[in-house]
Amino acid sequence: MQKLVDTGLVMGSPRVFATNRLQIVVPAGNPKGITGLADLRRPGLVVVLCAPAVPCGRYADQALQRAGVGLVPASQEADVKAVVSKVALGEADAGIVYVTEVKAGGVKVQGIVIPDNENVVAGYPIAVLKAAHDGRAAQAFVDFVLSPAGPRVLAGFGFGGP
Amino acid sequence: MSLLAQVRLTRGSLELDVEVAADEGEVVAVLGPNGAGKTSLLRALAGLLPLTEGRITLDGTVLEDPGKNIFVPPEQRPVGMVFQDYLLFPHLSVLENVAFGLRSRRVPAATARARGWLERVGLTDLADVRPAALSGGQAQRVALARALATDPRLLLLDEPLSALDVTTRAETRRDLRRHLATVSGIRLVVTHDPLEAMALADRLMVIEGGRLVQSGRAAEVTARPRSRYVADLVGVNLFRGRARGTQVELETGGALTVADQAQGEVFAVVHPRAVAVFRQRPDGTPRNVWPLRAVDIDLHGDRVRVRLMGVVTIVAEVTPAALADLGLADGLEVWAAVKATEISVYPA
Amino acid sequence: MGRGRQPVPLPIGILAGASAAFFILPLIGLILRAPWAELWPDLTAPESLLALRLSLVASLSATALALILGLPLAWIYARVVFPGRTVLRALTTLPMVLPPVVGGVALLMAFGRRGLLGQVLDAAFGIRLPFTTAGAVLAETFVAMPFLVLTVEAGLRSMDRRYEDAARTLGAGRWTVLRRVTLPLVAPSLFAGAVLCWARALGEFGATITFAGNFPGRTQTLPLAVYLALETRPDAAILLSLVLLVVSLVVLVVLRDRWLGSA
Repeated sequence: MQKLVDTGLVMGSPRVFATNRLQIVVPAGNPKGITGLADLRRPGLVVVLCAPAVPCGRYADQALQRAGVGLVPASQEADVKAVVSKVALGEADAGIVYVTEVKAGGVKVQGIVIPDNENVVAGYPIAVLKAAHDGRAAQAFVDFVLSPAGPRVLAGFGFGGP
Repeated sequence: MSLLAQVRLTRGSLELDVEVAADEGEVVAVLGPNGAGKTSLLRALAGLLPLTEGRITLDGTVLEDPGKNIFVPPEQRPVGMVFQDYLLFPHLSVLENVAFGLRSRRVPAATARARGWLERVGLTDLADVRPAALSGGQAQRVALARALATDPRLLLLDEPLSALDVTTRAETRRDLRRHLATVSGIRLVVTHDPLEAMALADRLMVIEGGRLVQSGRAAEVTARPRSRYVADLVGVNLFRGRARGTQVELETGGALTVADQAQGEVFAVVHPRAVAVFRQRPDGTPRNVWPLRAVDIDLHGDRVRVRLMGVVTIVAEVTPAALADLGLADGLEVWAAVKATEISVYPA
Repeated sequence: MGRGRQPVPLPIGILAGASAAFFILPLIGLILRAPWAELWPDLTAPESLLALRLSLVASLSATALALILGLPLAWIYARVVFPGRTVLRALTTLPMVLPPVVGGVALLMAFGRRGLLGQVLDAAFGIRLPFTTAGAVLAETFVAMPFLVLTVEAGLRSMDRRYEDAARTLGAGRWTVLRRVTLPLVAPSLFAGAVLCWARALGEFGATITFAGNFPGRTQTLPLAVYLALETRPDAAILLSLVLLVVSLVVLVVLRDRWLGSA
């Protein structure tokens, strides 16, 4: 979004319409008894993260830094869904992903909460583009998303409010 | 030292059932039409084709006996083989080819011995050449040297000259005869060329349809053929029939009057030269006279062979001049005559 | 056009030209868009060198493994008739047509921590294959070996087996025949198969990332590095792609005569 703003393609300024937080994802039943980020350093534990090039990976690194946990993962997956799959398949013992991904992961996985002081909040901005085909419809959609109806829909997936 | 083999096997549509017996120092030619089983026989003796039944004994050692579960694999049999296409290993030099058997059997000084064999076949200069660069005759000599280098008790040659052109063949045949003569052990040569068979071998075996049809000295076999195949090879007319005194009733119909008395099942041979052809019914001594039709006229060197069909089917040989005189042509009605004394009869 | 040679029919020429363009244009696009100025710094950056070295080591190891496992298989397919041969052959050729990621998942089911064999390896020997270089080699072998097996099998089938007969009559036992006659005669197919296998292993992505994961220096081969670089350093991605392309091109050019000539 910043790139778009910088090149002047955006009408007005972007507004955040939803937020997401990180969670530790573990196999259902939490077989290794993970309670927090510090536990991820346990020897012999197989932890997978998103690759640093991917936003989720950047945030995970930030969270780990805030918690003072130095972690070398077994793998840096190309996207967040892959992290969840590996945990769900039992190939990894834990991973760091968004809350929404843990929810989407279904019965095979569960999430371990990361306290706010360590956690990273990711904001999702929305804006209308100057070059929009149908500017009025675009603005109407943005207004809908920013209205109370928006967060209500998104909360079902695990997103937080703006 | 001898070979005694009863070979019985089935390969596709061929059922082979042949008995082979040969003594040390013998060269035996195996003659027969394509598909008769000659190559299969050689492969069986070499161990490349397992027997269904029978036994192969060489120098008193049983090489194979399915009944007693005995099978000596090819690499352990004292048998050497020269293949029809020579099958020289293309990735090895001539010298390496000849030395191959020696190395495989771990004979010391393999290279030196191989050079010795190359010298014997007169190819020392080609030692480091690849087989692809050899002429047909040269390749044949290398293949022979390669097979002989391991000193086999039984040497099998599968159509050793058939891959050569006509001129090379005659010369190579003489060389081959010379080389074969210097080798001890039993030599079995497969060929479809009767000339080759007679030039190289002491004894002939004729195989047709997987069965041994005739066996004996070359002169015998060619003088008294016992099958159409041999008769055609030799170039004579062969009849089969029942003899009663001097009359032979042919199984294909008609009869022959012969000079020698005989009884029972017989073969009768008439050389095409002995068949005289007339425009009119001849008057004279020949006892065998038939009206026939000329159906096939073939030039054979400076002679003409005419196939005549009617109450008997017989091939006559005449000169081109006679052909012209008679105005012989396809479909012409003629009379053929054969003197009884020209017919040779022997028991079937 | 040489004397006596027929001119190319127009429709064929046009289609062939379009076909060639289809393959050449991406390569030209890459070459034109590549940031040549940053060629040296990008290529010699630690991540790039690490990925390149790992790719070479893994692909060569995979080829070696494919030779050891694949040659006996090719020999059996070419020489031995047994019930179920057709099915087995199809199964071992499957990785060629499977989407690589599917192959990776299948490998997890067999060799993963909770896989059929993986469990045993972990419990009995403490051996774990996912997330390791060995795992990457395994994934590459899985997808690339069929190329080797098929090529070598074709070579064995087309070889004149009578050479082996000749060798046996000369006194060579089965091992000697294999060593001194069979293998030298199929050497061209062997070489072609090994090179094809290596090229495929070098370019493998889906099965590797699914089974072995991605970690610089351990499992991040060049294709994985390219994919991830696309997110943040597209220029570097283009350069790394060119490296892979050039290597593969050289391999194919060298193989052209053998591949189209023999087997």
